[in-house]
Amino acid sequence: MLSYTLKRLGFSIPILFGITLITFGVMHLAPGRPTDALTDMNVKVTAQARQRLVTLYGLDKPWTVQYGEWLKRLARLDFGRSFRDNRPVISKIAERLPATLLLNVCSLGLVLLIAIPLGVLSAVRRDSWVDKTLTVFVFAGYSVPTFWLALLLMIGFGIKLGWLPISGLHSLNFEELSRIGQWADMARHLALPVFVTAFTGLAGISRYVRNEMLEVVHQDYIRAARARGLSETRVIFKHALGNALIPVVTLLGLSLPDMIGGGFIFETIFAYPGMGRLGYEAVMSRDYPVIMGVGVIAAALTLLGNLIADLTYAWVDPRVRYQ
Amino acid sequence: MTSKVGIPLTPTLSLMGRGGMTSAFIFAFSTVFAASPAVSTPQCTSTGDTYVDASIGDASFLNPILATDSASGDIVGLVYNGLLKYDKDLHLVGSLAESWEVKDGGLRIVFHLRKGVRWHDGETFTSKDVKFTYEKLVDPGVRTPYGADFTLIKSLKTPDSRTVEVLYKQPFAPALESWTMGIIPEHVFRNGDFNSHPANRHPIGTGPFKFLEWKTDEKIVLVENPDYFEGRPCLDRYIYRIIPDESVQFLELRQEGIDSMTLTPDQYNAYPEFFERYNKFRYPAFMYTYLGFNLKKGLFKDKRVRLAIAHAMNKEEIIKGVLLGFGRAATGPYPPSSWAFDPTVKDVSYDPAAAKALLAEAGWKPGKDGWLERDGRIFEFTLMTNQGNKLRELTGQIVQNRLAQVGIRVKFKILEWSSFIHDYIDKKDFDAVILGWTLGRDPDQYTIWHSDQIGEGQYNFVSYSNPEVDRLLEAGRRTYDLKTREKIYHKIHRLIADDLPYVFLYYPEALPVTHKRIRGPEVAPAGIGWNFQYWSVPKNLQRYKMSF
Repeated sequence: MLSYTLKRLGFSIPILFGITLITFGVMHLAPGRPTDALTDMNVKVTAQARQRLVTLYGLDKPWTVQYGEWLKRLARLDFGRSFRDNRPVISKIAERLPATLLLNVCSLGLVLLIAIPLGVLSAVRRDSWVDKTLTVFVFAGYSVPTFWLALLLMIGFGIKLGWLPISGLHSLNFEELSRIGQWADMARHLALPVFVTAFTGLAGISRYVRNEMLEVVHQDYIRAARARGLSETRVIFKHALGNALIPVVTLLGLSLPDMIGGGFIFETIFAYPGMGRLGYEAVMSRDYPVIMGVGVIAAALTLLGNLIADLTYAWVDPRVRYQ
Repeated sequence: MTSKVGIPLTPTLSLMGRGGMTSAFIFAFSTVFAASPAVSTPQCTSTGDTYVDASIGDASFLNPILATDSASGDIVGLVYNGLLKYDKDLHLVGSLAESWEVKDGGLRIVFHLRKGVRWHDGETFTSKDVKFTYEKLVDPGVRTPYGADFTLIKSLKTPDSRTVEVLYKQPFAPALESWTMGIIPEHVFRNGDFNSHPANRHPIGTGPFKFLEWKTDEKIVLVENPDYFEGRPCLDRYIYRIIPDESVQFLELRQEGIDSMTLTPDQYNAYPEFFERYNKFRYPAFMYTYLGFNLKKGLFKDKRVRLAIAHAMNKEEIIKGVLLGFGRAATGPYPPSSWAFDPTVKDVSYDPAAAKALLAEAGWKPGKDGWLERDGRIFEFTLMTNQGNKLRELTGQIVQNRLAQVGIRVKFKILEWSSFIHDYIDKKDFDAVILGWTLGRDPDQYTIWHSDQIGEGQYNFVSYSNPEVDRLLEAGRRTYDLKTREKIYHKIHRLIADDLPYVFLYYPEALPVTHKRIRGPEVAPAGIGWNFQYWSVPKNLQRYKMSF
């Protein structure tokens, strides 16, 4: 197991290298340079001033040279500084990560809490009206445009009912609230975004659970359990569900990059200060160091997520062994 | 505040790009110009409360030398002061400078600085800070795009702590406007790397508001400066919320989560009951949208053809369709609130018959399928604009439609901003474009119209060339005398309108609203934010009570 893990980690390095190379290349293929937004068609900015900025940012060198320099810095774990505000990329990421993690952990928790029972129910009552209603419900969630749902909820709960704040993560007087007040304030701000992300994310896990359950309940050991006269609840929740959840563990491992990736659309809609906006805005302003920083971390987490998924798979399912 | 009209994420074509810089009235030389009332008496009927503003994007550098986006410009405009500033009527008046003299035929400007001004950290403001700011603007290692106007300076001397003498290589009237640039404190920035200095995120200025905190992508908070040299501002606090989605900003406005917003025309027309708690304002923005021709292309070399296209445009229809009526037909390169605008210049009328007659005169006759033809070739061209600007896209469709009616076939292409600029505009590989200019308050448009600005990446990309306009543009830069300049720019307005390198389409209006409890906003040629420091809220209507 240990040698397997080490081998996998070893393989990750060339893959990671390849990912960064491709990201860097694609980024430079895209039209536009970081200095464009500041200087294009701004009559106060002369051609010389624009050239000066290009040189100061090192953009006049071939992209392969720029990549080499970036790699050298990365080897010292230096992600460089953002072109936009000249702050270290790593501190920009560190600043956003907690908010995104908070939102995604809450949302994933809610998804699991709802999706697993829904999946079980759908499987147990297969093809009944309950199953069909649930199918429509989770797919409606999956298909509904996030921004539209978010705006409707804001109008409903924010403006019409006035129960919840519309956007942001903190109230303007956040600093003056008591500790408990601060928690309550954040909870109120999180309610809508967590609900929206959870609702739109139900379909995946509930469908997995349903399908796995359907497969598992036809296995011999379930028939054996029933034959032993165990109650249906015990059969479903103890014997069937445990096994049906094994693939969900894999899914959780794979969702690790999503946890920190954040979603651009709902972060923008909810004015939520998270990673999704950081990455998106970096792409739009061609902020190369930030794009690369976010990219490397996302790639590393994806690889790590895969590894964790595989390892936990072996851990929860004794039939799986790696050499 | 209201300097940020329209804040598009896709850059609009911008002459200035920044809030805080506004227009110029000009001065006979060797005269001493006094600042607005030297020590203003406080005009607050009441103090207190917080003003909550909103922005689509977060700031980048809270440093006037490095700030390039409108969000940074908004904050910098409240925290820092320039030597000069624009007043409500777009006259330049003193700010950190108490008075100034223009000498030696405009070669030398002497600024007399205000006495007793202190930085927010308590240090005294002196001429050394001005010199330091200048040095940073021309330092090749500093990442500023604003160096150009300052490289015309031959020397800058500080004979004493309250006098700054600037010697120019040649007389340059727009130089006065360049001194609206925020002055930064030498004692703060002296040590350390300028581009990554911590004070770029924790600014220390001389302005009416002091910096308190900046929560990235959430908000920036400023508090009143009790020692401000023009008297403390009436509001206690200014909060700048970052709300990246326009419809959500609008919802926040409905819920009174923000106190002001610059609206789009359809938002401005929304439910009357919604605006019960807001005051609505409208005034012409300092910008215009145009249809520009590539004058290097044979098709548009003939002035009759350009005039015919102008006659085919129904500007009122565009204004009604695109701006819902919140705009005005454009006659030339200056907006109506500028003193350079010549009100006697007549607009080209909407007259399809005249258009067709002119085109026939130029040899374009209707062919078999209705399109105009000459020597067996159909009159056809590609019209381009940038992606992400709905107003320009709609305008393009109307233009296409109107030209089809006179027999001109137009292909309309919408392109991503960067490739549009670098692959088409810079390389002059286009027939015609729909674009706009956001204008500075000084009418010097040398870089747009002078024939030596035709090179790749320069702004006279339509390749306009008129020796008389060249001469006038040069003369307008050389003289500081207002009367003379006004004459020059009126003439430029008329000549360019007559040459039709562009069809000037419309001047849009700015449409801000502010919360009703806020007293003080007043529309002037400068917009509504010019007296922001005196905006106040009566005690009984105050919403935010915050401890400091």
